[in-house]
Amino acid sequence: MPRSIIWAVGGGKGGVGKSMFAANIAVGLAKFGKKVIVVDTDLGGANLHSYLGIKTPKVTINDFFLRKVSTLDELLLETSIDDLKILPGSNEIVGMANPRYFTKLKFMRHIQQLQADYVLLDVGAGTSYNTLDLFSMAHTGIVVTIPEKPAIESAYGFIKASIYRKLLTVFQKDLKLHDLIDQARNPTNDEGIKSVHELLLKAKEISPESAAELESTIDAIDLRIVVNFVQNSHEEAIGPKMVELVERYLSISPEYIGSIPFSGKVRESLTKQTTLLMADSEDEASAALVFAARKLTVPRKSQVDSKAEEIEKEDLTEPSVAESNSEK
Amino acid sequence: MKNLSDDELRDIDDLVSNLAPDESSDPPVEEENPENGSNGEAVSIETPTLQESASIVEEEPLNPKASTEDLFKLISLQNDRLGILNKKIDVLTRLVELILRANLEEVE
Repeated sequence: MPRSIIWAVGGGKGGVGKSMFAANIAVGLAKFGKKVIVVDTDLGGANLHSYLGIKTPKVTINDFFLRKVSTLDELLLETSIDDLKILPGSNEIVGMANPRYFTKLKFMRHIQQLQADYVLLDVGAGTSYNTLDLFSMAHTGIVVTIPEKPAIESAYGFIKASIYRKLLTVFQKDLKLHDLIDQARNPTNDEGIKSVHELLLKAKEISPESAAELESTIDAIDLRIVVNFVQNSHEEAIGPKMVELVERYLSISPEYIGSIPFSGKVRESLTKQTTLLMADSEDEASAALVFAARKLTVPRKSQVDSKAEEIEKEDLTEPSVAESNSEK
Repeated sequence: MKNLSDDELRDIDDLVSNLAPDESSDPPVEEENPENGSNGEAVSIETPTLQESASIVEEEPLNPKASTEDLFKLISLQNDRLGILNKKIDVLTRLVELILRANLEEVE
């Protein structure tokens, strides 16, 4: 069976609707006839199961990290929707308080072995290394934000942190380049680097070969942006502007998936422990979510195979400098 | 946020600056010339055109259920049409305003 495609949903700030988005997209894909698994890796805020009608999951992701099971398959719970399963998260952070890098990589390898067309990871809020690593290990990263300044700042900061985290991990053995990347992520760095483009120029001065590798690593990053809870045309314009911002400073071109209109029915659906798509498929936000699910399934780059290879080959040693820094 | 530079923060400020639009300001229209309209010259107002989203048309079908595909296209097209209808209403409102003002000037 072909490997499953892994999407990670993140965004930095809490309360922007990441879990709502992940749950509804999963339902949308399942309704298309795709086999879907949602995985709640939101540490401390695991609630994805609530959207899928499960009150208190009897098994959680913790059971894997505590080695109570040997495969993730054993932890999958059926939902009321055909072809949609969930691997519930846990608010008890036992065993996953601060998993080492190789533990996360091992976890991702198990994720990749799940029998599904799509696996959606809800990585939760914040920019901890757990969140950033799981987000950047996925084939596609989906950033959900809302049209409010703090959320936009968080979302952009999250994208920036995840890119630099990835680069530091990939180039941990190229000491000069690693050092340069580590400096570049600091906005007041001594080298005067203000963007990823300037980082690439500096890298070329050190080693054209390393710079080429750096560039191809950046090019391979597949990022999508969604703006949630949109109420007017001014707010709708935020998404394309965010894309421009990311292109300007981070040298990657995210795809703007679209905006999800604000709907009071989202809260109603959660009260009923279901998704908006199940509660009211006629709602305007439901139509936007279906459209988003549809758009997300169109691959932008031929990354899936290369990403799978990357996870297979990746070194299990800890990212030295990056990991040695304390969690934010 | 501490991992962002001043330039990045400034650009984010610019990005969100239009989030709370000034409701008292009129939508941008062609600059009004009192001599136009009042002497019967045609007022040129650009009418927005419907552009089908290329992303919908060019994408490969997800599954063979044509009815679901058609529904997506329909929803998207209806949304586009609704947006254009709103713009047309705005344009017509401005046109009526211009005609009324021209008439008023003639009376004066």
